[in-house]
Amino acid sequence: MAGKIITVTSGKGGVGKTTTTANIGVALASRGRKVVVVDADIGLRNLDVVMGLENRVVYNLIHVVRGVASAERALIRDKRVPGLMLLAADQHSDKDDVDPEEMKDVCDQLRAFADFILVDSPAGIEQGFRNALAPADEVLLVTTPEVSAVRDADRVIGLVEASGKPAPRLVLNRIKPELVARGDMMSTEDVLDILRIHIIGIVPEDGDIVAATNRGEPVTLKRGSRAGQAYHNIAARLDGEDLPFMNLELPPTSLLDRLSHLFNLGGSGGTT
Amino acid sequence: MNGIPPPATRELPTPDRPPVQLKGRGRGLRLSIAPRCDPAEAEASLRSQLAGRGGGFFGDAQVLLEFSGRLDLALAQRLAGVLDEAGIRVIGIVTPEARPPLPEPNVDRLTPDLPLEGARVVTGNLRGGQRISHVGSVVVLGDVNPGAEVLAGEHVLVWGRLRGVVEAGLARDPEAVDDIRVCALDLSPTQLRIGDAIARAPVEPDRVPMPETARVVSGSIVVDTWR
Ligand SMILES: Nc1ncnc2c1ncn2[C@@H]1O[C@H](COP(=O)(O)OP(=O)(O)OP(=O)(O)O)[C@@H](O)[C@H]1O
Ligand SMILES: [Mg+2]
Repeated sequence: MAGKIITVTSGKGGVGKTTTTANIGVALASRGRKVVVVDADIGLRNLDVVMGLENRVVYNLIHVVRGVASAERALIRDKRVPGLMLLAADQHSDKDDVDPEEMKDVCDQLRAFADFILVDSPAGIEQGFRNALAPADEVLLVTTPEVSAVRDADRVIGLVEASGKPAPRLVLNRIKPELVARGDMMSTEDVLDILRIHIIGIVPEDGDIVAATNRGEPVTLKRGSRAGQAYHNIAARLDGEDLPFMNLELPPTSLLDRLSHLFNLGGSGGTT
Repeated sequence: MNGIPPPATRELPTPDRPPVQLKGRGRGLRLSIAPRCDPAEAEASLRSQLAGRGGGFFGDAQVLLEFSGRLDLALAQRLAGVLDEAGIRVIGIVTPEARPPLPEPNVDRLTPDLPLEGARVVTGNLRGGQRISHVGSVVVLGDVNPGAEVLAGEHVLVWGRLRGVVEAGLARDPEAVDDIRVCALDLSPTQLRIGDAIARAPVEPDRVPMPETARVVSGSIVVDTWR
């Protein structure tokens, strides 16, 4: 096996990189792919928490870099989804304890274990970002439809291109269709009009994400969530499927409820 | 103007296009929705098309709602309700590209009569945080995004959208910049400076981009159509 390394990054912090990495990991694995998600946000360990695997971490990325544990031993297998594995970050180190060459080396070793290696990047454009970018065959750029996040995303595209990697593909996160329809939120077109890169998915604002994150169960594990459908679609596209592009991707179940919730028409939800 | 016959055209009979059209066979369906259609008519039209296809016999068909005009959420919900009754799942909504396209650059027509010898040519988009400076003129074959900066001793030419900051004529005495030009296919800079004159693009959300060129006339920046 020679897995593909995909780095998930954003520029601005808190826009959904970790959520995206965990959920795309779940979605790819549930398609039968082998996936390693790598937490490159060293010092701020959280991919393991979002995935609910915190209590199973024994070895982490730094151990593999230092040769304390082999990549194989350090991988934590997610029992809920066969084929999904995590390489955790070290809470007690910091970003300068690893350099881009070491990161590349570790990720190259992981290629033998999976079809996809998803690297969760820290926020910013400093050392931690450079570490996460170094091994990437492809980059996914996460942004929310906000001017400041889009501005930082644009900056990151410039840096990715300057590093000689292909232009990232965009994950537009936390879209609220009802605000876009009212003209109160940047639309997909507004964002693409500035960034001019290909888009791979649009993830709606979904309250289930917060609840799921707190339980350590990525929403994609649950059937019928709105965001989950979007992550399944992204996974299908990463896997080479040519799905038609949708501005709003809806889950396959209990349609009417979800539409009224989504569109905030006569429904109960008001303050997501 | 009496006596001139009306031009020999006639109204083409517009075939009665239904407000919504259900397309595709089998499980993958598309419902295309005309711009500004009346919700009640749209619903009635959908119902009759469903009935025409044998009503309620769609297995586990899926449909994409395709708006050819503005997204109408209330209408989407209404139609989704009808589709749901027929056992067809709405899996997504597609809307058209909302932006007016950038004008096609006509290089022969637009190439301005500027002395561009020794210009620095940038290929590709200048992104936020990137800065280009050059003692002579700068030509960008792409967009200059918000947060990007172009500093030029002489002229600036952007074959794309100019939305960042531009300073032109920096090699000149601020009093001697009358021949300096800043041209773009869409001139909406965050800030534009030529000599001592400063301008910002007015906020016009519905503006249709067109090639424009800026210069200084008696101390202030004026913008003309670029042709
Ligand atoms: N589509 C969404 N709908 C609702 N909440 C979301 C969505 N995406 C992310 N969130 C929430 O936003 C917060 C930040 O998400 P996350 O931790 O994934 O961002 P991040 O980019 O990894 O942040 P950091 O830069 O700190 O690493 C979390 O509380 C998460 O639950
Ligand atoms: Mg994170």
